[in-house]
Amino acid sequence: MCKYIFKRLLSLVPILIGISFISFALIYFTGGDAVAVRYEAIGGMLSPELINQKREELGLNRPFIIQYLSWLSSIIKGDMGVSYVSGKPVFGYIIGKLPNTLLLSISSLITTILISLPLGILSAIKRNSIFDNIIKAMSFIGNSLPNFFVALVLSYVFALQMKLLPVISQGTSFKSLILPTLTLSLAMSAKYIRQIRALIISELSKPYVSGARARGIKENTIIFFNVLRLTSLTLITLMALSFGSLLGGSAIVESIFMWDGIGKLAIESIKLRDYPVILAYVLWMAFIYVFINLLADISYYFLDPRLRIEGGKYAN
Amino acid sequence: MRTEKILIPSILVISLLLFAFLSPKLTPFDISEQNLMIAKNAPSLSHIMGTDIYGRDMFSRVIAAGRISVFSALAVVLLMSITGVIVGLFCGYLGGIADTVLMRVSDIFLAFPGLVLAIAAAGLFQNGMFGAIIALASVGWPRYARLARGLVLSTKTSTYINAARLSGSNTVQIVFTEILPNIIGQIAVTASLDIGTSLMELSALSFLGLGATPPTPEWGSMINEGRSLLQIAPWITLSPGVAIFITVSIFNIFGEALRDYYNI
Amino acid sequence: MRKQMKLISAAISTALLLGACAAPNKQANENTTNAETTAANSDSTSDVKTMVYGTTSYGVGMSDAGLNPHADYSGWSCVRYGVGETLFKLNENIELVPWLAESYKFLDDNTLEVIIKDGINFSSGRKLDAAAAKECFEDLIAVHDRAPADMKIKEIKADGRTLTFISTEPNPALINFLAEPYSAIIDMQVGVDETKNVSGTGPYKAISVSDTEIKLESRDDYWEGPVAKKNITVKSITDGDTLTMGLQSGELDATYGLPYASYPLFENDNYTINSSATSRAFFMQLNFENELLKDKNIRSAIAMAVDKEGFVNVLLGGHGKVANGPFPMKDGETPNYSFSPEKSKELLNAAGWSDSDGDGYVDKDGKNFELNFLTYPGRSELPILAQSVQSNLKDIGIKLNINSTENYLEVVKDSSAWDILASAMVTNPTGNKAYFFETTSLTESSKNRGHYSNSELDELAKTLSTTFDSEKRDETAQKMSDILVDDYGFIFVSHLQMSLVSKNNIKGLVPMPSDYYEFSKDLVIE
Repeated sequence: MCKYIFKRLLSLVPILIGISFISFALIYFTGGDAVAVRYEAIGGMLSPELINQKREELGLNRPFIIQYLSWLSSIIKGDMGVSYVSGKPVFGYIIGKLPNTLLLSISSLITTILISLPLGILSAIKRNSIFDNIIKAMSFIGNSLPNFFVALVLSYVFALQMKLLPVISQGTSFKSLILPTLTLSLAMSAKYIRQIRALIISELSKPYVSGARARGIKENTIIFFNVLRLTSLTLITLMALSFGSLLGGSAIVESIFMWDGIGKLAIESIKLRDYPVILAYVLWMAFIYVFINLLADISYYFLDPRLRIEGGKYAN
Repeated sequence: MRTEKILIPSILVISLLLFAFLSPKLTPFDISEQNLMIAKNAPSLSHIMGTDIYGRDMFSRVIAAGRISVFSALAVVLLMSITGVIVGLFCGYLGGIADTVLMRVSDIFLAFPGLVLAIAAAGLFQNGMFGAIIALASVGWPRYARLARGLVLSTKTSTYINAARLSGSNTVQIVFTEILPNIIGQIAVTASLDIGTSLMELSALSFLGLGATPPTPEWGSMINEGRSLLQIAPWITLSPGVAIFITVSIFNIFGEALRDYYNI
Repeated sequence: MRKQMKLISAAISTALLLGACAAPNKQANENTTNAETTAANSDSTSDVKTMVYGTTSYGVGMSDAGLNPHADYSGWSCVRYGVGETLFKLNENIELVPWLAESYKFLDDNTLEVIIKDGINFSSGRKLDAAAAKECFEDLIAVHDRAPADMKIKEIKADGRTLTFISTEPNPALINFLAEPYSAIIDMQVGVDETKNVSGTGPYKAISVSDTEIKLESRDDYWEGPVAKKNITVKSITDGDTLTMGLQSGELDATYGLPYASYPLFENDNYTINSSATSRAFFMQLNFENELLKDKNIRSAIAMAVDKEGFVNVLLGGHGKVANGPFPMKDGETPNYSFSPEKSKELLNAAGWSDSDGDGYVDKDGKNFELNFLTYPGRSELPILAQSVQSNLKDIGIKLNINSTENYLEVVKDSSAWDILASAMVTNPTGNKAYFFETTSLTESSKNRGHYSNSELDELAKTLSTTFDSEKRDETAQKMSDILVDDYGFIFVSHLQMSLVSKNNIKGLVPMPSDYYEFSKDLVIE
């Protein structure tokens, strides 16, 4: 087991280096003059000499590969640089907001499962019933609406018209978690319901199910004890994958609802061209995603006994 | 039976594309014609989606935005599928070092979650819709490369490929005449299901101000423009939202029909 | 099995860890909310009322987080929220008047003597004298990025209440920079603490400071007279729509930076809107690298086609002031520009432009008259102005292609990529009108993007830089402004009107044209 995990970890090293290279190159080659842009944006003014002095201070006048290597060696030491805008260390900045983003992502994932698992199973059992068709239609609608639009409509209805929920979710109270969570999980549930339904239907047609039925085992028991257990693997893959889209989607939803997470920070930093923060955001998100996928892989290893015999088949 | 099921969705998509293509000519009003006297008017018979703060006809603007929104989404999907498929085909067919290197690169891209890289890239390109398209396409191609490569590997050893090789066809010929036609169905299904998603992602970027910017009519940026008027003139936000919904629905219906057609 | 258990427990502990990471933060936030509610509840029992003030202009994004005047633009926050004060302030006409200073005198071209008022204390309890001010200015010169170049100070002397600045070269604008918020005088013995809190002479002192929030309380030993007892919480809210909804829902009592679209929601008896025109001008620079725009008739045709009133009154909902020139009009001054699309068309016709193919755009030699309009969305008014001008110019047959991008600084470098640049700028930040010309419209100015050049203007600027007499300075500046306006190289459209919107129980929350002063001693919560 340790060997398997070690192997997986080792295979991540080039990926992580690649991630850091792509992120850094992106910023380096597309970013404009951070210093000038920043001062113009706030209506201030710096002389060309002062701008050059600031560039020099920030190490922006060195060649690309030198800047990359010095940056890489400092992130390995846990130093992600200093925000151009606030002057604070980026590492602490991001770590401070990370829990909020993870809280939102996890609560959305849990809500999604709570919505989609029962509805998906019911749809599968009552295949082609009115209920199934309504759920089908709902999930179709959910699939065709962009989440920022859903967010606006939800905030309009619940916060402004019905005045049920607070608008300024600058804190991370339970109440202000509701709308962003709902926004993220509605779209995800739409996808999940269909996948769960399809999964259960295909599982129900397998011989062991008919066998169990023949032995007189109750339908519910079959579903909850056999089918669900066997579909859990696919569910874990799904969840690991959607964690990725959640991390991206949360950036939009966070900035609409003023949820104080990394996503909102990232969007603000992009507008302010605060490159160290943007870089750190991209890196952190990729690291988290890679880590989640690693966990998923490891969990397959335990959930699917076949893998243990074949060893690192999934390690491709 | 199979053909019939795909007929209606195809007609829908073709009419949508035609409509989007011709849309700038189909608007009842000039989209940049301002009339400050009728600014922010609610929907009425002459302006069925109301007017915006400049007194411009919302219905005309929503229609005109169709061209940019729809064709940008198509551009994203075409760019990423063509690049991805070409890379995947050759990686799968040739194998070797090129395969290993390109697949490692695609692994790295796939390691970035969802929109994260696209948001950063679009924000940094600052090049309007073009930047947003490039950003999304450069994040999306590895999926197609993976898919195409996998499909090639599964068809590579079949008898007819061996036959073609024995009859003297070169690599490029084999890839394009023998392998590609066999896998195109699967690719087309994936691509058609991606159009709706791409459209929503592009509009999300524009909504955030990282794609199209006013006055370019684009649904996402129109929603953003109307956002602060949500209480006073909700139609400015709702109309483009409904347009996105309808368009994405049509593409999704088509994609699903295509999937059923190919039995995937 | 055992291994499985291990994994499960590992998973559980990971989950707990994540939860634990999230929890303290959550609690902290809940605590603040609770604290606020308690504060709000205690209104009825004690006399101390709290105003929650939401603003889009505080925070790291604006480079003014914290109250340390010697860092970035934080001096703005220090002065705006009534913590720090400057030797001079700008009155309602953006003219300099003494504030902490009693009087001043230029002893010679390089020596400025300022007498400080008697009986002023910092919130730390220390008395303000010339020595305290000297300590503060010396730190400013040592650490601030803009101040040394602005003030050109060689030496500062302190004697009792007499503060003497000796500059390296004649610098008539020095006195103006003493009103710039970075010159706010703080007690350097107390210094700047790790939260960026400082001790100033203003009517309020900060109890807590963070990058997103400042808590203030009124001082009872303020030098200008009694301050109504109250607490103020300044909250940074970066999104205008959130600000709107917060004021509507009652989570905020007062706001700075509401989107234009939101004003109609508050134009009723439950709210008070106090406004003031500022010197932040929205203006267009024409690109003189374009041959067409070198023709003054063409420039004036463009200028006369711009419907400034339509832009201000309809598109900005009346929350702006039509501009006559770079500086806002004084009370009683009437706009003297002409808006006449007919005259514009005549001018175009005279220059040989007419619509010969009937496509709605004028043409000459088979080519339509097209111009590229560059602006950026960072200031929400600018894309609106772009679309408004687009429509205006279409009326006279000129086609405008708008490019609104945050990347405009890159685009602007390529002279062929743009013809008109619309931007926003505070034209008169310190009462020193020379500043605007020096930065934008002289031949060598760094922000003279369109390469406008007028020798008469350049000459006058030279004169201004050595003129000390304030009346003469004003006269020269006016002359320069007239030249600029008459030449149509720059088209000044409007000035920002700053509005503070509050619930109607807040009195005395009145903005000033210079945008530096928000909370005065006269602010009252009823």
